[in-house]
Amino acid sequence: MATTPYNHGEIEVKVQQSWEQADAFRVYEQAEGEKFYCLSMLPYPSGALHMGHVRNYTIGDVISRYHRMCGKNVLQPMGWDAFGLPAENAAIKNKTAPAKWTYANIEHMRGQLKRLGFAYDWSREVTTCKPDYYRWEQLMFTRLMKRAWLTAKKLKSTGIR
Amino acid sequence: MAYRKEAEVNWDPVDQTVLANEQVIDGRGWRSGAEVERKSISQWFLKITDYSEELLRGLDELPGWPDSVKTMQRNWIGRSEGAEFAMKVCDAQGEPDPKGRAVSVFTTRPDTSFGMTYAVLAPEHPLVAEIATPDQAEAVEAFVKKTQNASETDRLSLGGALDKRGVFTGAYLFNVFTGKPVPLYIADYVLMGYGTGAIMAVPGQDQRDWDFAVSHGLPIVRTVEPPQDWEGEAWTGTGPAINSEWLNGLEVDEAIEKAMAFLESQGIGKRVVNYRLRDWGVSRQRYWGCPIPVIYCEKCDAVPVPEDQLPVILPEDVSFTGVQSPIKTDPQWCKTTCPQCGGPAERETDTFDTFMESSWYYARYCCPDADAQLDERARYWLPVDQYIGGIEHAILHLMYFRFYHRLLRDAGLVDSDEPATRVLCQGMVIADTYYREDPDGEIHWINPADVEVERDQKGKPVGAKLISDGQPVVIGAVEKMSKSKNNGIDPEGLVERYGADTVRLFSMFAAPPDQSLEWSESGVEGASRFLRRVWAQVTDHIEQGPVEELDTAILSVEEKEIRRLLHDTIAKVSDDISRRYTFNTAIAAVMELSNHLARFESKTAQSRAVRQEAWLAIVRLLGPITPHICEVLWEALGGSGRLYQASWPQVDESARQRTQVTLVVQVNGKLRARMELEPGVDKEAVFEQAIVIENVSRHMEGKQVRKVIHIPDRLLNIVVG
Repeated sequence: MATTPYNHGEIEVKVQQSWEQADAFRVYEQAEGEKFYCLSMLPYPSGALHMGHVRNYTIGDVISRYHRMCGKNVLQPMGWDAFGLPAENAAIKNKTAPAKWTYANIEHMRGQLKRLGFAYDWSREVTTCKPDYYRWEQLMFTRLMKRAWLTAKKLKSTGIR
Repeated sequence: MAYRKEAEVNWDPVDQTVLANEQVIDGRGWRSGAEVERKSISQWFLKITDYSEELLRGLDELPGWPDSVKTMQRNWIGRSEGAEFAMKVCDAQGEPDPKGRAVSVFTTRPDTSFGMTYAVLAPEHPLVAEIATPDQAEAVEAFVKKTQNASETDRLSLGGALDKRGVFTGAYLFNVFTGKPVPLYIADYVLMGYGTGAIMAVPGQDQRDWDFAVSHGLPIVRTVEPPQDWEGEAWTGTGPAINSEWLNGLEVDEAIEKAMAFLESQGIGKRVVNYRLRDWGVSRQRYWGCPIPVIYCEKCDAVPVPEDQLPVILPEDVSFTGVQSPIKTDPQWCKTTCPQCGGPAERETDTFDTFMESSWYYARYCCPDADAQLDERARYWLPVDQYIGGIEHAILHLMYFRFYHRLLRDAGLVDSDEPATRVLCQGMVIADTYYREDPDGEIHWINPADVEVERDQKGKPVGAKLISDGQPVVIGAVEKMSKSKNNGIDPEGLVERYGADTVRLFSMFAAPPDQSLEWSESGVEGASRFLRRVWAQVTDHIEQGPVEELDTAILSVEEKEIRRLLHDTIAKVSDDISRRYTFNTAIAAVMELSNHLARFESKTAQSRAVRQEAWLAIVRLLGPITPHICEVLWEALGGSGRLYQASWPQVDESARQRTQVTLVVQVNGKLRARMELEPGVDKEAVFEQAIVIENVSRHMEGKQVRKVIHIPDRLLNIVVG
């Protein structure tokens, strides 16, 4: 291999494919080693990554990969903070539905993150505008409504927690 | 924990819709251009204030969070201890109000009560309308109306002429400390939501009260003695009480205590704790959000959607015009039956604040397919060991994140009190700005990628031109990358040109993570050059064929020195990454080591074994930062398994022992010689060897040794005279 000159494009795509094939960064709770949860703030799917994202996610990836090499069971997930006003604005501008715009951006940005080689467990991807995510937020809210009369302290003393 | 109350929104009277703050531009609706009104509508709130004290105390248990974040959170929670006490309404002569009405005021400084020369109600205070005297009623009413359309931010701002920010009600309150009446005003900067919506004003000790008093011609009485040289206006510091009868001479703390005791003994006051933190308003009148799961029924009022009817799904395939939310205009979507009485009912059409989703996503990652909000896996992974994000989220997101975690805890879903043990806030990414101004003064920002910069010999920019037309552009300030200044650099283009490893290396090397990272093309070039050189060095090493096993017992001084540098570097990089987060200095250390290796030319079998050890370590040290190139080099070097599964290199402490030190010899503080020694040679032995060096003995000739200073392994200073 190394007799060839440094060709980053070729190397990087090949290595990324090998990680993907090996499911290299998928983690399980039963694994050996102390758990280490390294989390970077999830992006808003605005359309494209910017340098601020690259910086944020590189820091997270360096810390994650370091702890993995130190023998820890490292969870590093990624997802999408997908609801919000920008999608409405873009929808008006591009005469499309906010959902369509959002999902297209997620597709594109996921590709960008993969191309940067971040060691995410993509099997845990969370997209907040999907019902299988927000249904639990709704459930929690209805429970909070019903217990509106209970303060946190009372909750504890009544053993409801 | 979740409740409904009236709260103000921005109302566009033309589009008949609620606007988000971002949609109000200079007080006008972004689409209609109509002047925006403040309107009260019923909205949902989460009672975060039940957790005020816990959210505050919890900050003390977070050594791994940046101090700046904790300070911002403390200020946002804004805990203050003070007194709440009743002041009776009276007339200008102090005669009590026949109806016996009283106003409850909150103050953190009851010790300054003798200096209270007026009092202020929030314009929304329920007593305002009935308490205003007939001759002031018109002015009061006009002022209340004016304030209704002001935002809270404007009301709390320090700007604006104070004579226009409040009016006299005509009524007085009885100051129980002085036994005299004080005039009662209303002012926009007093908010109903904080304390009791009424304050006592002490211009001597509060600058805003001072300014207000001056602009309304009210008296000012100092009750805390300022320092002798104080030339300012209100004195907010400490000092002995003055003009305060039975408090005179007491220091602030003692005076507060005595004043508090007085109020309690009179049965008119009590100690209270106040928080600046407000309940979290979660209703948004927008379409693209999570529907609030509530049904409204005329008989049963607000009813939560039953659990077996969840989720309430937001339709995604809608035509969206931007004026009204599609679910608000769709009667079919709204129409439903009441889960309690079965009668006709309507769905809530507001959606949640999007901070709701980002308040618990970290927990869902633990169990993304759980058939409940969370399952046992969340207990295994939480709390987050390391959270990384922008400092702009220091207050809102990180507060809601801590609050929601406590909701999950109190629902029995997680065990920990705090969601994250360590937080790192990365700095901004900044870049040069370039622009042109057209004849009518409009600024056109030009992207740095489209500009060619001319520099002088020192590399300082002297001019810039647009590549496409060769004409000059103006060089602006270095600012945060943004759309508005068009100084963003597209990472995708960079990855294509230089590769992901180079982009990652640059972003980690150019600055410590909490500092601003300044974009520079030459910095990226430098990162790329370094990786190409590492590639070439390793390639060169491998091409010389197989390497024999390292035998540390037979190494030369030079080989030992390389191993010492290597193991020092491993120790430093480990510490920089795991504890200090100074990835930039970690990279600098590896760069320095690779320079040493480049100069290390010996080709003996053991030299090559040392080099092999060094490169196998370096690709692991760089692995987290530039994982692709390192993965390939690891394999080429014959590393076992895949790099991402490899173990972090271990420090060999025995290799870090110096085999040789350079000791500086001075005579009377002047450098006269250097000695190469084994480490740990004692003072006498060093002295014996030093005085036989010609250049040392020459400077000592004919003089007496007065003193010998020895810093082991570093320096020997012989003082003669």
